Amino acid sequence: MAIVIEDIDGGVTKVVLSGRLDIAGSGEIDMPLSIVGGSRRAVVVDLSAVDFMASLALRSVVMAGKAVHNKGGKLVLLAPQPAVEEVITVSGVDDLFPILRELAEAIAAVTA
Amino acid sequence: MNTPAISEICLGTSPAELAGLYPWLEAAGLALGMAPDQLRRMHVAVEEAVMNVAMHAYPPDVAGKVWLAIARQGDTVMVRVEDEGQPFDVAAAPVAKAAASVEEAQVGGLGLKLLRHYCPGLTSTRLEGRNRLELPFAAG
Repeated sequence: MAIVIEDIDGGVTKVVLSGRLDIAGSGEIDMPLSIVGGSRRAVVVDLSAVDFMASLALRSVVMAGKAVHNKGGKLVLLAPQPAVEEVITVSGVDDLFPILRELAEAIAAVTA
Repeated sequence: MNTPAISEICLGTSPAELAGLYPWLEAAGLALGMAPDQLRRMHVAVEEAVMNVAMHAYPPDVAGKVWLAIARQGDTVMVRVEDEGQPFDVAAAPVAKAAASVEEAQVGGLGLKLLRHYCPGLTSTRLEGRNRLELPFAAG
């Protein structure tokens, strides 16, 4: 599964993305992420198991983040691998949705 | 001088057909002896170039096509991306400014920024009704 959605304690939703989120992989995550964006207010997107991501997959994350933000909620990114982090920072997406290293830190950030 | 081996593919711009991009590019890059990190950088850039064609080159009701070719010459791997859509000069197009806030964030415009970052040597031309983008990458 390229996406697993898990509601954890304290009203926080953890979205675990994994594998190669190229054009094919992006298609798998787009709709589930949009549902998360439309229905949750505290979202941690765990990117640690993502091997590849370009702007198509990133766009789905940004859309979800905007939807969460519009409801007064927060979305953060957790522990991307260096190659994925490069794509995120070059795009400037980390200025909008911060990258955090530890789950506890990420949970604290979205529930603050 | 040897003529470099050229690998080519033509993809429709529907998501199902574009899913064939990665397997083709991966196989071609490996066959040309590219290092894994260069292959990854090439893949980000080529995906951005191809998605740009898929999203913007053709009218929504037209089944568009994108033509790709890859070859190695010395230390450089060159990828050519062509389409028959509306004229678009990728090299001259303005890149989206960084958003100051989530409200201002545009979901488009990320692609060109990534494309130029991962392939600073790109050139684009309009030739015989086609947009042609040439993307050079270091092989090693």
